[in-house]
Amino acid sequence: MGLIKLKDVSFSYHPDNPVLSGLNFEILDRERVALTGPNGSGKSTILHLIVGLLLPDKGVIEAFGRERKSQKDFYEVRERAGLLFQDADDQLFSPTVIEDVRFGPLNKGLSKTQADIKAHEALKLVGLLGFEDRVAHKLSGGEKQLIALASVLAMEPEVLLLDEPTAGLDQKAFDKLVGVLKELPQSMVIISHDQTFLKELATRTVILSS
Amino acid sequence: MSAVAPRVRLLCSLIFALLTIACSRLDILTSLLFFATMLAWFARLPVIGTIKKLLVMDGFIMILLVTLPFSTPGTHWFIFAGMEASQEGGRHSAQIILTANAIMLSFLALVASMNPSDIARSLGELGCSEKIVQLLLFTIRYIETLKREFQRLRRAMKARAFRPQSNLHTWRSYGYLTGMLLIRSLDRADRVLAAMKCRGFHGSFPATKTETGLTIADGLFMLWFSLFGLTILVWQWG
Amino acid sequence: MHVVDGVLSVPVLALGGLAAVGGITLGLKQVTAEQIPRVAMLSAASFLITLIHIPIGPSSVHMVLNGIIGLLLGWAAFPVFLVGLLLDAIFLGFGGLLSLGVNLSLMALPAVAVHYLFISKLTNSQRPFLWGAFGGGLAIASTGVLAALALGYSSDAFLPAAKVVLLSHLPLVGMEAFVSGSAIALMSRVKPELFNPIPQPQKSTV
Repeated sequence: MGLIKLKDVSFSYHPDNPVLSGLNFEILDRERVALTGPNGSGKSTILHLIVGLLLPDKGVIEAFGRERKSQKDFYEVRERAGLLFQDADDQLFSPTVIEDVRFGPLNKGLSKTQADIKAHEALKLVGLLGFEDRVAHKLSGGEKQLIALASVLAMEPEVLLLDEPTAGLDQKAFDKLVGVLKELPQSMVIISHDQTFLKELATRTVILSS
Repeated sequence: MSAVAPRVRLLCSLIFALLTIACSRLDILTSLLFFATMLAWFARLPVIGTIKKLLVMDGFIMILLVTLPFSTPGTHWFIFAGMEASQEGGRHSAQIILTANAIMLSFLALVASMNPSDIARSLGELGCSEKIVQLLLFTIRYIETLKREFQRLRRAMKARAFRPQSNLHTWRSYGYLTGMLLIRSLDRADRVLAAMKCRGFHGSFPATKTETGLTIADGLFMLWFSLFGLTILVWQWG
Repeated sequence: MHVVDGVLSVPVLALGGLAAVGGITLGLKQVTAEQIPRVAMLSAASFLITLIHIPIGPSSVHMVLNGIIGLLLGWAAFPVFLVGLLLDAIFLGFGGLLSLGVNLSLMALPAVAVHYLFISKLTNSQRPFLWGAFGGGLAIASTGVLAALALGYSSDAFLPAAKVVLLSHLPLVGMEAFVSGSAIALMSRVKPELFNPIPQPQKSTV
């Protein structure tokens, strides 16, 4: 069954310059889709459309069995589909790691104790237990990316949307991230230009042309 | 000192400032400056760095301090370049320099030595609006990130042989640098907000206030501070 | 502005404090929770920009650029400069505690005034440099005048110093005007949608 489905979707930032036109795209249960294509072909745009940060000019977005139209429709989608941003600094806005990781669970309405439990579980998943009181902006690039991933995982999403997760990582951080992602049960959409990374993870590849 | 709760330190710093500004006697102001120095010593402030900061601040009021003796009428003190300086003016200058340094030094010791985000939170605990606290926390968080962006832009200018001088080219370039940094900051803000929305943010911050009670250390510190304050008050007006 | 503690008279401090509280209250009303990242990012950026020293003749001055922030934000300039002044005190030991209100009002009141004078001129303007320069120059000049007034009203003995403050602002006015003009020209070319009271997140930037 399809978890998320984009049907005949068109989108443009400026009217005379369409980014996507008539796109059909589907994410099935338990698959890891690689999304590749040249810069400007609309890869990030697709992820932003899925979680409703952008709304399509035309076409239908279905997520978790329902058509999603209004901002309110997408509130639920954002809890069930976790988007990892390209730049971890965009995602980590809190003074300390633990505050960032429990931000999502708190927004879901969990109590602070419950949110802390979720946060610890997520930190454990990415192998960074013990980082709770570290200051987010003083972490290394690789650590930041993993903490950002933990902040998404703490919401217990069913689908992960990863926007160039390996950009700027060194070999060690790269290996660690691959190791963590491989163990995760979620369906994934992965934007990446890195062939080794995609070979390790992806079960299917979709190539966008500009 | 680090055992004392941030909000207690903030409050004490404010009380110290009010106390200092209320006093006019030079001997009392000197004692207050001495007390502030003691606080700085307790807080283990770096000596050189702290003196440098105070000197920079004093630099801002240099003109005022130098002109005051000559612009205040009163008892003859000395004559410089045909202008008469008054003792009252000299006294006023001394009063300003003691007040300004005592307050700033106590602030550096009591408040600025803390983790900036603790300062922001304690402002909230003392009744400051939640929006101000969030603003401060966000700003503190992103200063480093924006600084890196800023340095990239400046380095790119330098790499193309830019040297600041007093001319229009310099001013225009700095204008573009400013405009570019502001635009990038706003773009960054939009991405941060988008990321927050992806984690279920719909316009209100989850409340995570963890107000802890005051400890014995806090109580002792406040007691010591109040005793000192009372002594000063009695000395000035008693 | 960095007027230190111990200089200004109580009435001046009180007036500055009142103006600051009023300005902050009005400013915060315009800032929703969703706009906090934008306003905070502008606070951080303007704090960084004021660290630049620009040579003027044999000396150098740092930029204030309250005109630009005013044009962008209107009343929300108050919280932005409040954050900036707090960070100045925390990181650099500049300014004063009890004179914070006065220092804030000196910077933010001209910024707000400039906003209401020029923002309509700037929207869809063919000459953004001109209006940016007017705004930037006027803002810093007003800050200088207000600072001199605050000193002068506190004590007659401060009058010579007040005159020096006023004179030292003159070269600053030319520089700030030109820098602000260039910055506004660039911004209105790159992101013309910016010049609303508080810009809403745009579709194209998410």
